[in-house]
Amino acid sequence: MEVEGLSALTNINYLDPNEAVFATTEGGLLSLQLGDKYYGKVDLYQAFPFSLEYQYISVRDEKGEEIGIIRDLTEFPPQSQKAIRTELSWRYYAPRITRVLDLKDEFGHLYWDVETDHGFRKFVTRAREEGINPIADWRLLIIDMTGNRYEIEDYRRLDAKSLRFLEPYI
Amino acid sequence: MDFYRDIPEYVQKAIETEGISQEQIRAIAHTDLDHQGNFRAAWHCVDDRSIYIFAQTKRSQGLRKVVPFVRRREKEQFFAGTDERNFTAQVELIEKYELESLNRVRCEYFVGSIAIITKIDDQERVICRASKGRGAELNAFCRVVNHLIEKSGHKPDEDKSRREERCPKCGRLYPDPSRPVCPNCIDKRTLFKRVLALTPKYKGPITAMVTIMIISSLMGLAPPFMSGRIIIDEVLTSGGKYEGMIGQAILITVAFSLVSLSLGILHGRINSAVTAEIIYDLKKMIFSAMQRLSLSFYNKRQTGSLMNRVNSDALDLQHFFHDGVPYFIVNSVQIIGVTCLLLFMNWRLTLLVFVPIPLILFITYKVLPHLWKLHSRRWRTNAALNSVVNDSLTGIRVVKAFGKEDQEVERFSSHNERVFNVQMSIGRLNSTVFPSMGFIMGLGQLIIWGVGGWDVISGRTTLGTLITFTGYLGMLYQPIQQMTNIVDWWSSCMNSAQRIFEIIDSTEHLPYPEKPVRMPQIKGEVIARDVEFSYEEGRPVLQEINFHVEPGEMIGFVGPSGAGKSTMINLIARLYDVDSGAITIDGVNIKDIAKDDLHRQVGMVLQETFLFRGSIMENIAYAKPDATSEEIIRATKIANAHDFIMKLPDGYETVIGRKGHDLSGGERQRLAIARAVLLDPRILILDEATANIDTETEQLIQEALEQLVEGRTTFVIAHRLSTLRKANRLFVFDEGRIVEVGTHDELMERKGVYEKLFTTQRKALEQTAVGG
Ligand SMILES: Nc1ncnc2c1ncn2[C@@H]1O[C@H](COP(=O)(O)OP(=O)(O)O)[C@@H](O)[C@H]1O
Ligand SMILES: [Mg+2]
Repeated sequence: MEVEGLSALTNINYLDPNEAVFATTEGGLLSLQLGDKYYGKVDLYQAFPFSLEYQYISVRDEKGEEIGIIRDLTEFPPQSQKAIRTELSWRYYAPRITRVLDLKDEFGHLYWDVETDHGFRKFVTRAREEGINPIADWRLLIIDMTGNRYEIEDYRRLDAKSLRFLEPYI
Repeated sequence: MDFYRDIPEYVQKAIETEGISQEQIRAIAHTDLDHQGNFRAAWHCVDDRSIYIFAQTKRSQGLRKVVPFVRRREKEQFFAGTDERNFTAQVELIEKYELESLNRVRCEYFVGSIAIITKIDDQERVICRASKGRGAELNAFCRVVNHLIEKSGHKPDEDKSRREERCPKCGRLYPDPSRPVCPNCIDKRTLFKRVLALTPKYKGPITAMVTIMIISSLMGLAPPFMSGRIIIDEVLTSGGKYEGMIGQAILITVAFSLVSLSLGILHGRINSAVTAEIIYDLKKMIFSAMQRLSLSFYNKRQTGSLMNRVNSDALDLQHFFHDGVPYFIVNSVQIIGVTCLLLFMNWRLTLLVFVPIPLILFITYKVLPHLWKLHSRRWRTNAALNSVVNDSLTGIRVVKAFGKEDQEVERFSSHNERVFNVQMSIGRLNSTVFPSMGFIMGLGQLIIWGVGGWDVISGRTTLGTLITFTGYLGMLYQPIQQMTNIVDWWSSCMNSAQRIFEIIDSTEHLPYPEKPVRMPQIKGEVIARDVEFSYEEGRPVLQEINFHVEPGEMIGFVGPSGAGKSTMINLIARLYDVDSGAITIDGVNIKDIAKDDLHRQVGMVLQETFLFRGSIMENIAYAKPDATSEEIIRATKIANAHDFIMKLPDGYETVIGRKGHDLSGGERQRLAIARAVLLDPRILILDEATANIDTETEQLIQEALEQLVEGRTTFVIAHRLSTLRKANRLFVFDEGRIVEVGTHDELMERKGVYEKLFTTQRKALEQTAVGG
């Protein structure tokens, strides 16, 4: 109750981990039971998608109205956590690149052939800044021509061959 | 409709095995993610009853490597971007949805993926997921499915969104999926011919130029021959053919140089003139093509960067013609000429000359690209450094205000360090590569001196030949090294040419009517039927718009900003085409009305007034260049602009934008109104036309407009609702739909959206009135 009073003051409505119960529906979407109110489909928005993936997540209903904010995902019970993570992994879908099999710089574009945690994939990005975005010290966000995202969590941990491909661009 | 045009055969078979014949198919879409988020291709096929989902079969064991021959064989079979190591070129039916059980389907766009969602038994359900590139196709698919589910409305237009994603020739992905062009396989020769074809009128000068170049580079071959074979062997050697004729030999050499020089000058002159003209023509073509393109073409691109790109592409081509082509001709003549001469003089030595060439090629191919990359990196780090400096100097007040000087110095240092590091690498590489290159060429020199010297001593060859040989070495190695550059240069130029032709050839203009309907005198009845429109795929801006406006009616569009009012008038003026539904004027679809007739009779005054460089008169007469002075004055009087124009020193001939004659927002607006008045359109559109004008002037314009709207159909968007008192009807827009229609009084009585808007506005006005 104390927390609630505080949040009313600062106008940030944090969801109570014990009161808000998230679940993945049969249809593959995220539902929320908040007290006696049930939302069949809620949307999630990360406030700091690069640095605090699992904190400050805005939960919104179908009209886009904010229901509340998840301050820290780890405060939630495991079932809720799992459902939220699943939903986030769709909304912010970005396979992690584990191996770079080929990377060619041709005609002003980079042609990638990679292995990710979701399988093998080939794609094309713009050369230079627009394609490869450093988002933290060793972390890269790669955005292809159609807007798909791929992530390299820590390029130092890639194998030598992959690194050799990446080297000229970082 | 040919649904199978780019569907692999194995999928076609699977569909037929399900007992669905091609005629029954209403749409097919393919997706690339399964419900676990793995890259797995699936085809969604809809007939009149159900949606069938066929997904790739998983390999029992993932391949470690795709064997080249499998790759080649299956290349066409695989859908670009799928995981061919974990999945086979086979599909199985994994899901089936009866259309009867579905509600509308819709596409939802997330940051990283797309989903098609529907409602089954009141439960939202994801039908499939896909990566971001598939949006256009999935949206089109959803439209068809919804049409089948609802069994009403207009049949969606043919789906043209599905395209090849991969170059059928080399298998590379197309860099830009909306542009099926493979930079590797564009036919460079045809392109080059096309560039040349721009210039039939320059055939003469170009032929002359090439001839001159060949002659002058052949003449360039003479000096080493003269100094070696002729002067040493024949002039200075006793018993030589021209013994002692040193003066003549020098004279001939000088003559050669003079001729070569004059040819060079001549070539330079023709070259500059011809290149300049070719580029002039090319730019003109691009510009007129760009004028034809539709607004959506420009929406998708940043106008500034488009202009830059076109300019730099044209510049690229110019360089290529001006420097690249001559360079190529001169170098090839030199290489061929020198080789022939050397072979003719002494084939044994010639073979030795070629020994270091592989090494030279190796260095130019392997090491130099690295150097170019470093150079471009240096350029980028420098640019970043400059922008840091720029930033903190322009923001110096903020820096000081927050006392963050140290932080700025740190930021600068880290960028500075990067520049330093790149500079170091370049230095290191430079000081390795070029001396090595010099050494290798020197090596060639040494081999010749060694072997040739031996030959001279043993009398097998003459000293003159040896001198000539060493003289030619540089003339061979240098061009060979340079020719490796020219390949890259050629590629990038043809890429530029390709982009330019793409604009010239672009069909991204609104389709021209096949049989334009001439409408010299529009009455002004405007009907919208089930209009839907979006600027970007997946974000509908207007939905289910229906209205019927009688000739001469004045209609006000009201609603919160972003509701779609301006978009609606853009559609009425056909700046964009509707996605579905139709807009008709006097019963004729505006897509079929002849362009001139439409634009001559639909006049727009927008909130932002764009005035071109030029006089006030020219600006007003922009849409009707043949207007008489009297017509212009009458129009400005209606727009209440006459008085202020008369007070300017140059009257109607005042040039806008010239120092001291910049106009205020309100004045510009009135010029824009005058522009529209002069056009005397049958349908007049005013989009917040009086927003920048003070209340007093607005009153005046208001009266003028009231006369003006008499007898013509008018659409007025106004932020100040009081402006719309005279409107026959108000259409209230909200979130892309018309939610209320009626007169001011009717709408106030309804106590809906309009009433709310109106009362808030009045309250705000009263408050500012009291407060002010
Ligand atoms: N050129 C454009 N490209 C993409 N979206 C646009 C463009 N113009 C307007 N929009 C979007 O369309 C919606 C409706 O805009 P608009 O018709 O200008 O609204 P209004 O005139 O009612 O204020 C807004 O959400 C706006 O962001
Ligand atoms: Mg607007």
